[in-house]
Amino acid sequence: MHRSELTKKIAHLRNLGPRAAWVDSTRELLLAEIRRQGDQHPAAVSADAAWGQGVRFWPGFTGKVRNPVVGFVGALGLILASSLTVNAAFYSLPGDTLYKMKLVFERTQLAFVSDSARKVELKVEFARNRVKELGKLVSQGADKKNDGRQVSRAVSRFTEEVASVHQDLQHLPADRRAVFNLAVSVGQAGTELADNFKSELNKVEKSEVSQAVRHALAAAEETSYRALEAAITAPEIATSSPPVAAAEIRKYFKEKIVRLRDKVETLQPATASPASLAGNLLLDLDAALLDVEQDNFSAALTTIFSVRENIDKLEAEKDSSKKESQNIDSGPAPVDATGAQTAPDSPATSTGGLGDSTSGGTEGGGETTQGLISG
Amino acid sequence: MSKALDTRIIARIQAGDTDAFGELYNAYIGKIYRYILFKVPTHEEAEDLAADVFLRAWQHLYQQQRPVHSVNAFLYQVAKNIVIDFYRGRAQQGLTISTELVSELTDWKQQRLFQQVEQALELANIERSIRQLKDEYKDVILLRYVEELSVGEIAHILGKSRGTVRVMVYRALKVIREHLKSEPPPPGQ
Repeated sequence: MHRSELTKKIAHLRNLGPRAAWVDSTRELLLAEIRRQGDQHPAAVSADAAWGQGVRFWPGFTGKVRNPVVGFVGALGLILASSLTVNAAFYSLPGDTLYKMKLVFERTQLAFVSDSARKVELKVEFARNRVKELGKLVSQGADKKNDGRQVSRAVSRFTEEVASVHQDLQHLPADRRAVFNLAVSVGQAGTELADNFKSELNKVEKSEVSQAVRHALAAAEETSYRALEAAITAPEIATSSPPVAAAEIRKYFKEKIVRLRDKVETLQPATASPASLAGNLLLDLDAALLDVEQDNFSAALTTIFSVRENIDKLEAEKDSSKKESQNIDSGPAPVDATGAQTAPDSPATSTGGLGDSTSGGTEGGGETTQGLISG
Repeated sequence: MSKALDTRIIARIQAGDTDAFGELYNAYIGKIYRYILFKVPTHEEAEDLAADVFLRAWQHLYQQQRPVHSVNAFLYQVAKNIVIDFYRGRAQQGLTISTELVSELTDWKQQRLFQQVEQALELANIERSIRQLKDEYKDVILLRYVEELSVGEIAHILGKSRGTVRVMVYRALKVIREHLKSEPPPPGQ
């Protein structure tokens, strides 16, 4: 193809453009938020000082932004005549016409908040919004219908928000209360997500939705544990919030340990030999509990991380033996080259490396959903 | 939009004129969306990121009062950075992405338009070829032949010399031609 012919054809791509409805709604949303700032005008400032100065010059702004409901309703109220439409946007679900506006507004809020700790709080808030939306979608049966794609995308957004929080952990001020609250919030979001998709996750056959959910749960669990680790090592800073009592940390650790115990016992019954992997993990969790009682939180967390890694292996073994028993039910046992039938691996003896149970399209992920799924 | 108009709009935005921001948005949203579209997997993500570009533009212009000499260069640079941030976030999750655009157009008007364009399948091949280019080649092709920017403007956006941009354009077209040769021809050819 001659160069001029090729470049003419490339130029045809100029016809691609955004949807007119999206262009209009996004313009209105952006303008509404900008106009909401009113008469305040920042002085010319250096880029480095910009955000700090900006917050000082707009004293009412951060207060309003702190309440997403008020901020969102206020901004939309300027552009949408009907209060019913405002509510519809705020309570919209993935796939609804106004849902994009909801997401753009969330990002607008993040963009106008300078405080790093407040940014992280907002991200967790938005992640929890995704969980609520997913709960509604699942109750409508959307995960089973053609809307499964919407569900997967909403789960992916949750994962992105949680991963972003994980990334921000290292930049947060070393404030034990703030980071501990973060650990608890993200953990709760993960638990709620697991509850919404319990039946999907318990299926052997992995759908697109269940893979996305497993990945999301792994991300939430990892972020929650890393935040807990940061909280343990962070100093207590004098703020208006109450300090984190050791009892509070102990209680949270115990909840985590109980969930992990349930998980281990689900994967391998208590009747299994104490010398089995599951038996050893239960002993490790007992040791972690003892450390927690003595406020030796770092040691307890180290043990928990080790237990989680081993739970991966147990989950992989269980998935593998489930698939084997399905194959056996549906047909003759596999026959090897010598003509001898091969028996499925015993869960107690098979080794790891049978595949990550949270394959979900990720690479190198050792993260699982342990501790978040019961039964 | 002419340079003089651009300069006036920037000045108005920095003075707090929200109507001017609306005008900027109207003038550039299509270009910025299109630029991002070839760098991300889906239309939806391109929309999300394009909205972010204008949010960030507002922050730079009004809140930080940063001087801007070329609106084109400024907006494309912001878009570039936002796409980089997008992929950084994705890399952390280990997500892999690959899709095609022309075959996934959901807007029926655009679908009809492409059906009317001669050899629509050939266009899909071209789109695929562009997507497979390395990032800086993608930039020069899109900015030069889709957005019709001058070599000088592209050089400013990418922070390279004009000579380098010309060479990149030449090489990128060569890669596209080679890729198209290896693609099956559309029906009717």
